[in-house]
Amino acid sequence: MMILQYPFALSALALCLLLTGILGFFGHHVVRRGVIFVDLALAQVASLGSCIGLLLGVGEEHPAGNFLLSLAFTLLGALMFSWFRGLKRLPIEALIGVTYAGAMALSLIALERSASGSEEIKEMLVGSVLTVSPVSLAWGAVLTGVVGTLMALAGKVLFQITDSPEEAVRAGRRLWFWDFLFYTAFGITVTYSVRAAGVLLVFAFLIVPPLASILAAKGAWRRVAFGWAFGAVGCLAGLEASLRLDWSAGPTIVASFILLLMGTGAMGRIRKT
Amino acid sequence: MPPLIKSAFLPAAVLLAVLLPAVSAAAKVKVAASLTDLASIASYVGGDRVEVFAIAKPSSNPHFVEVLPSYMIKVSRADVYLKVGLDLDHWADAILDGSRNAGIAVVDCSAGMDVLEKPAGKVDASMGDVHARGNPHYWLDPANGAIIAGTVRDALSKADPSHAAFFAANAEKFRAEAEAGSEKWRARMAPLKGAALVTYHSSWSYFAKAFGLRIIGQVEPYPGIPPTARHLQGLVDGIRAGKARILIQEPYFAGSGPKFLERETGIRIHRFTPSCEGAGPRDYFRHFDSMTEALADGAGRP
Repeated sequence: MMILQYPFALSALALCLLLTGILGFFGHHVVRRGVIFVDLALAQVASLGSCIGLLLGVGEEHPAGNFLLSLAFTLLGALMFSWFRGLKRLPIEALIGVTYAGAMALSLIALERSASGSEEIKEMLVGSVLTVSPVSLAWGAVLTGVVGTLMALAGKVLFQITDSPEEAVRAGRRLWFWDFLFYTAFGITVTYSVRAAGVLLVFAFLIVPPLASILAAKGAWRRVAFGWAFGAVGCLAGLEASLRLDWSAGPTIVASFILLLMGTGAMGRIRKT
Repeated sequence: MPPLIKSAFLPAAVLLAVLLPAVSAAAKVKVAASLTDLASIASYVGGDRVEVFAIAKPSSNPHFVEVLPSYMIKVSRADVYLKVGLDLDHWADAILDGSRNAGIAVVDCSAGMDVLEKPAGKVDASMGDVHARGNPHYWLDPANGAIIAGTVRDALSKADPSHAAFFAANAEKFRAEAEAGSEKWRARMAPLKGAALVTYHSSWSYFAKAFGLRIIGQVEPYPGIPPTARHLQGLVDGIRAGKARILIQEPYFAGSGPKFLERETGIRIHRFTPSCEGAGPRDYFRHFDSMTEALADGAGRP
């Protein structure tokens, strides 16, 4: 294993495992609720906050201020998404799409004024797990710990809302409150993840393991657990391939996830016949 | 001596004699550099005592680099890292930070440079990707190449003190060759002295200064920002008024702006990469050779 030989590769692996861990949980809900593109939209809203920070003079040289600004935008986005559920006549996925396009358009206008726009956008897309710094990794560990604990405590209610919202309403749950909690925790996670790993990888971590688990396992937590195992194998294989072939890490890991998904699908087929 | 040890002694001695030079030959100084230009100078100064690797490909924009695993591996094993500095190669910090190589000596090659275009006031995002510490494309003046060679000599001598005299002699040879080269290239460029020039990005300020060219405009309204229609129209007027005949464009930038200017004014486009082709000891000089040749050749034509 080439991964084991290099500290930078081990850090990248650690980051990927952290992210598949926390995003695997969110992914289960996102896929079941049919709000797949909510992560792209939230990430774009967060990045809009960071772009506006750049224009206001709170750019890269003030990482804390910039992060807070993008967090504020994320919370605003979370508030909007929890409000969307009330708009019964409009499909949520369409509203999410509109949010994404709007945030992207405003980011582009902001970046036009700030130079290196196209590269920033590419960087946001592809990310750079190979160069993750120890500090960023430590932040990731803290964040995953806090959000993970919160989600584990709220897990039962969240699964109920995801799997049968009518039942949750009958039980007297205030959906907008739980939605806001969910989207806030999700938004914070996505803001960090996209900065560290890029939109492409975050999307794969979020969506592919839950899809595979629908094919291979039954029951909410069992599916989440399968997703984690799937993610770990995908990260290991993808990162190892990236090192051996000298390909960009993010896209190679995404490809490995998709190959694994196809493999899981084929296995399910074979078992049925 | 007991017979067993005696019989083992000779083969062991032979083995040692064979291995020792191999071990010392393997102990070359491993140098990683942000650009081929720095790497080429390091190859010249270091000779066969160094192993050199350049990260940014000359065909891609040195302001942004997509990090491949091999870069991380090479940097994690390198002894010396040569940075351009002046905020050009931000990405090098991420690679250095991520590669966890505590023993690497990071050398900023902008040390001792007479930096052009240092902004006088406060720099903000509305001015584009302007470099707050001045124009970082300093290697495009051969005189600055000699300064880089001195910086590299010091760094290599620190990494391998036993060859300090060898590095010093090579750096001196480099300086002399850069000087002789400058004279040759300036003579070749003599017909173009004082000629007006349009560049795409601000990469060519040092080059223009070294060869007596006047930059009258840039295709980018601000560094790193693609041209707008109004800016291009202004340039058309500027080119006509200033009688500019040469436009230098980096191949990694979009060609539509320069092509528009060519159509409107007949200005001649030269596509030059700001960095030399490879990391070999002669590549740095070859780069000036081919650029001055192309420019002088273009000047001879109507």
